[in-house]
Amino acid sequence: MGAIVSGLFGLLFGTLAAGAWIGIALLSTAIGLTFLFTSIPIDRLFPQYIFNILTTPDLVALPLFILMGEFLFRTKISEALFSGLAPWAGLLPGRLLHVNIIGCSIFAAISGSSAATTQVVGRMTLKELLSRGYSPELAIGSLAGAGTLGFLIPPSTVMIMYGVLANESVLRLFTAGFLPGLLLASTFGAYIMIRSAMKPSLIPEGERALRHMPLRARIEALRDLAPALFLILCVLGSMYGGIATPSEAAALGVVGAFFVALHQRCLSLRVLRDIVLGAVQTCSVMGIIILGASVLGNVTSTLGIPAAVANFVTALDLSPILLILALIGLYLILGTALEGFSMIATTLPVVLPLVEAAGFDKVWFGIFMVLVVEMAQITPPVAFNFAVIQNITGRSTGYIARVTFPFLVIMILFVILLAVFPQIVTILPDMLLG
Amino acid sequence: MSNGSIDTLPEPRGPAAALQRAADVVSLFGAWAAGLCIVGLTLLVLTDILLAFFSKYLSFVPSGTGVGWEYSAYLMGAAFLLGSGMTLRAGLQLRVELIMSSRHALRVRVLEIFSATLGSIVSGSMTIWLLEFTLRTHRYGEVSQESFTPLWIPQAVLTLGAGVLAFQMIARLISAIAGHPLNDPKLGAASAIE
Amino acid sequence: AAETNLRLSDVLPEGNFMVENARTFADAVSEATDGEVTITVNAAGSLGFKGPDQLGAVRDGLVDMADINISQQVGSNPLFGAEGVPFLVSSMEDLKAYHEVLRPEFEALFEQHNQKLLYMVPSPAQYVYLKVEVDSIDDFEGIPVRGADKNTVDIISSIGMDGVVMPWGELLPALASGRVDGVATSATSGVDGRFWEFLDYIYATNHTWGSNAVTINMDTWNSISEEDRAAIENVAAELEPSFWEVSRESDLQSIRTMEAEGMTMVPLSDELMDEIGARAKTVQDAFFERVPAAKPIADAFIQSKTDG
Ligand code: NA
Ligand code: NA
Repeated sequence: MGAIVSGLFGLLFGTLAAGAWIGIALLSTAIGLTFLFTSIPIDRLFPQYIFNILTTPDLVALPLFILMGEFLFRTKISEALFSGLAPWAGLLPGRLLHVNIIGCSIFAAISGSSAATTQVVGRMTLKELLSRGYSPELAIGSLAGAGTLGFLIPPSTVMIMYGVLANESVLRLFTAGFLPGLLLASTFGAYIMIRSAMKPSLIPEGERALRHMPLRARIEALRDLAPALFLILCVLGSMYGGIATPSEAAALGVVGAFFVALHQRCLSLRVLRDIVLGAVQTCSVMGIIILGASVLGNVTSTLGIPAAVANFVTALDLSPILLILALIGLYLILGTALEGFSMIATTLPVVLPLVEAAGFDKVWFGIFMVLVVEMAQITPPVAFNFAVIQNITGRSTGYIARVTFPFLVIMILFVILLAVFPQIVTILPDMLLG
Repeated sequence: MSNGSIDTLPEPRGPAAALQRAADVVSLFGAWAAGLCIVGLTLLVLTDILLAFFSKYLSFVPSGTGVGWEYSAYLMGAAFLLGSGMTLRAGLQLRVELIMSSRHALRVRVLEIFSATLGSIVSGSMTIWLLEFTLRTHRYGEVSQESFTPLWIPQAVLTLGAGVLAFQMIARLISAIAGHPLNDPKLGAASAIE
Repeated sequence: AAETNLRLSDVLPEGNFMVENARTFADAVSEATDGEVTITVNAAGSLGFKGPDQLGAVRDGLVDMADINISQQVGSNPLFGAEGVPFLVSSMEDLKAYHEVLRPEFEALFEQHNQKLLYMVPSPAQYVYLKVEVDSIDDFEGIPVRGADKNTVDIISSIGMDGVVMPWGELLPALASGRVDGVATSATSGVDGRFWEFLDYIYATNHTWGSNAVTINMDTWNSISEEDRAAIENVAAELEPSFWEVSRESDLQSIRTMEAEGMTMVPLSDELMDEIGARAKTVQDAFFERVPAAKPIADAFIQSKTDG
């Protein structure tokens, strides 16, 4: 088993470090392990795997959410959201810096992905915030942090993935995500208030005016929130109203985004072309990583690695809280190099039985996994959300990592809080779903 | 990562550049086919929602297409692979960037050649394996259990998608050996910064 | 002799009685062969195969053994659906009699696919779960009900309900929101899905039957010593009747669980069952038209019933 495990890490990290694309590195590791340690005919095994994974009906929501994100990204819906929120966020200490957090929370309720949320909100807020003179440190950091809410606040592609792999109800997971999502968003908001109270120079002088806006102007600004609320209604309304299943609801989100864009007259042939090709690119990036991660997961199961690691960790006989701390550490390390979906796919068979044995609920662990996947989005070198922000701002990965660090720490503390008070996760599904 | 200077360089010429151009045309066709798959699966899911909604009120409306889940999954798989060649060429496929952004031009080139070689082997093998798989399924006459659809059809589309990726990988390998620029950010959708 | 370790693929989740049967079998094989042949059961599809490709996986040697849902293999040969003929079999005793004539056919089919049938265990009886109480055939009209496969959906629809196909992962949210108002499945699945959260009435329709078969790749089988092969066949033959009992007991236990959670089992009158059967006749006729080879097997079974 030692040879197999070192083969696994050697091949994976070797190919990654040599610059191989993540999906290719995962696939070649899977092929290498099968060739070295089994006598299964590779030429017959892998096409079956590829066909099964790429045509899993449970993943169909993913391309739909990606397509919807492209609509949001390339139309004026996002600008309207900013102008609707600004007069209200201006009332809080920290002023418009809260726009990232509020905007991300709202888009998180529409879109299932964290990168899409970061992309959409970041594109509309960052330029505006920086030109108004806000501290880039907090502006970029809060975007990177709050962007991760995309997975925690339902709908969520990570929860769908977890639900499939852990055989847990997606509805329960969605319901469980609400409260921690809002709580985490509030914690980020509190941090911004504290930081800007301690160091007033982070907020530009001129922004005091936002506090003295006439109420009527504030209320009129709410009208700009209408498109975003309409989209929330399309997705959540159809899902909870019995018109669509959770995956199908994403398609209604696409339709909603299409009509809003049409209404705002920002659809040209050129824009439609970019929307479709942009969706193709994002789908392909995600699809090949999911493929590689799932194939490698199948191969590690075949080789018995999960069982062996589970036995190892079981033998450590950690107390529940130590187990959770150990898992946070494990996932922080894995998350630097692995993408979130592959982390779930490869570790869940090992870790889930342990966590359940330690007395944690499967839904609770789903939320835990969502949070560690979110952390993986903001830990370099493999950091989806950093790539997005890099695209918008042109700043280096190092800078983004530095300004995001406090938000990462908040998330780690937040997970520990959830381990101590698991009710934060379970109370809502228990109350609503029994 | 940034290839801002490429625009000012002269277009590369010769057989390697011709191969790259051919791969780009194929990849672009693949990307458009992938786009049609995504649009198609959206419409298919919408059709199922509409049918289910209206069948509650009108008894003659069927409650669904019966193939929505199955076919939209096939379309999804096709979209994942068919667009991968163009995405690779646009420089968007993810990798660990630490070493690739190194200032040592030679080191970067060696690593580019290595990763393109590995990518060519993996995607080339995938294509051959999928092709044999498709032919086997066709020979056995296997159909899906949900709708009795011949399985070789979706499998053939996936084979085509893997082939597009393999072609782009091989072209990239040869371009890397020839020292030509590898990423073409102009290909595909306009990015956010414009 | 050298030790042989065999991997067995099961798509059912950990804790399902089929998986537990497979583990019982694995332990018994290990004991009967003095540890020369051991079987590792991989549940929940963790080896990467889905239900419909288990047959091919064993055939091509991608896995040594599999716990195969037989009716899911209709894509390879329609005769694998022979247990799915609507309302042909009405009880587990009936099914046992049907297997007398069916088993040799299945054995031959599996052999064509390069594998040996070791034992077969039926899934528990089939039910329809609804939110409403039904006492005449017209009450079924238009209720959207989820079925797992085309055959089930066709039967549900022939009775008058709106058969819908959707993945299991979508089903529970769909039930919660009213996208569907019923499910056709076994009692064990009803407990897995905590149906009492959404549904109230249970109808023992027994519209179809289906079994799982545990098979082994023929090349692997032939590589095992003659003595061990005999031992394995013995273990399979000895355990099979008790596996049937486990299936029956898990059915009863699941119904008890659902009733304890507040669901009501509604008895279906003979007249209603006859009406349902008459409506489903079209599906039966269509089945025999599509799979003529199934007709003589079914006739032989009906003959044996009237003889017995
Ligand atoms: Na979300
Ligand atoms: Na990371």
